[in-house]
Amino acid sequence: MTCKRMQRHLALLAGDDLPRRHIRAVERHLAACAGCRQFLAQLRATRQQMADLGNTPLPQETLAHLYRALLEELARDVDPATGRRFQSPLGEWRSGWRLAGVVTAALLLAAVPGVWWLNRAPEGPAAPGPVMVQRAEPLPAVPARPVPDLPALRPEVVAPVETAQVIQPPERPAQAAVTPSTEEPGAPPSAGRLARSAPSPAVDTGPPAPRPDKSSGDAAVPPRQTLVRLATEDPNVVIFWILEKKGEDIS
Amino acid sequence: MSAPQDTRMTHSVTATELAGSDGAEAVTRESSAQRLADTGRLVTRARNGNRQAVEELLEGCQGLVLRVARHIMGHPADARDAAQEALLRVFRHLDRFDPRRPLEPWLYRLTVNTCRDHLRRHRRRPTRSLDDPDISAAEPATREPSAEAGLVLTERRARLRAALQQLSPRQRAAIVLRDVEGLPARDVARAMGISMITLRVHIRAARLKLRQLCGPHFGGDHDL
Repeated sequence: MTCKRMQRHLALLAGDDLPRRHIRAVERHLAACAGCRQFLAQLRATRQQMADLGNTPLPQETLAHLYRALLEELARDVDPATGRRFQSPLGEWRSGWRLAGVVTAALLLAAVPGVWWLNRAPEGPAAPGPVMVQRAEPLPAVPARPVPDLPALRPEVVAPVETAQVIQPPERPAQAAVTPSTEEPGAPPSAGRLARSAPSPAVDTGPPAPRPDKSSGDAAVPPRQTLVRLATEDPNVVIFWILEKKGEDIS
Repeated sequence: MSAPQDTRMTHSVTATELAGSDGAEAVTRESSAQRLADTGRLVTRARNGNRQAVEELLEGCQGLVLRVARHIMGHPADARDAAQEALLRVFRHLDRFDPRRPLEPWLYRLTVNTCRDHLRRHRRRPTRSLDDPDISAAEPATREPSAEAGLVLTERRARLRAALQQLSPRQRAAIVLRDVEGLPARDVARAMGISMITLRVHIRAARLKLRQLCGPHFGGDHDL
């Protein structure tokens, strides 16, 4: 370690402020360097003079002047009637805001767990629920309610239906739009007429209609459909539905 | 109330020491807890508006505050103004002080902060050169038995005081609290509101500069 670098450590060592990790290295250097020993002696002498500076007597007139001036100044802060110290408006303002801040913080601290407690999900056996009691004797028999007779449903086939008037299922809407069918020459022209027509005892089940060929572009033959009327006991309620024949005989 | 004496508080402000400063009774050895309790009671009474307690506390504090302000400020008039301001802060903010804690660190901190504010607000007075022949004129007379020894001591103090003014305010505050007042380094760092590492930097720079300015007069003229 060089002497120049040693000065920095010696300045701290003179007042016992050098960290312990440097002390051993500094002592080794001091044992071999007379110049640094003298440098340290000067530092210690200066420090000793600094400590003696604290023993300098203070001028009595200055102390007396300070004492009087301070008591006069402090007397202005005291209310002569009550003997209490005046509070400056700024101090009152500060203390008021401080009190308001403390109250607000306390309310917030109290509100957060309260809200959490109100919003918590009910769980566990804390809340008393209905108690299930096992009874030894059998429960009284409840008489069974009579099931009313359903009206007799008598389906009957009314007539074949034109394909163009049938509402097509949603998976092939384009086909219904482009293929108006007139395959059945004797069929009634509209569904409304079909619904109001007299029931037919027989069902015309022709050969299964082929699927329309999209590539050819011709009017393909739709599957044969049949209108079925379901008569109920109520003369005002008549149910119609449409059967689509796909190669099987539905009669 | 009698005229205030130069009461240097080496440990803490206590009622017993204050009474001793009046010469009524000698300072006895007390436990630190007892001294702390006495200081706390004195502060509590002063806070409640007891005039006698205020006077006792002021009499005990003003020596410490004026001495530190004098070392830091340099000029006697500046030191008196700073000490007065610091003491007013002490008594006006007495309600912020915890009576269960020692009073001295709080006093040091308030004094150092007030002196720093004072130095920042007011333009520094021109410092005297160390070669000024009238440098020791403002020094109070020493109590040395020998006139020659007293003269030498007075001159050394004046030279040191002038050298202190060559330091920066932070270096000056650090070296005054550590070497003049003899506070532990940790208390100095706390009073100045700085870390121990920063305090060592200030102390090292201050001692090197003081040795450079005053070392040849105190311990030879060797220089590296």
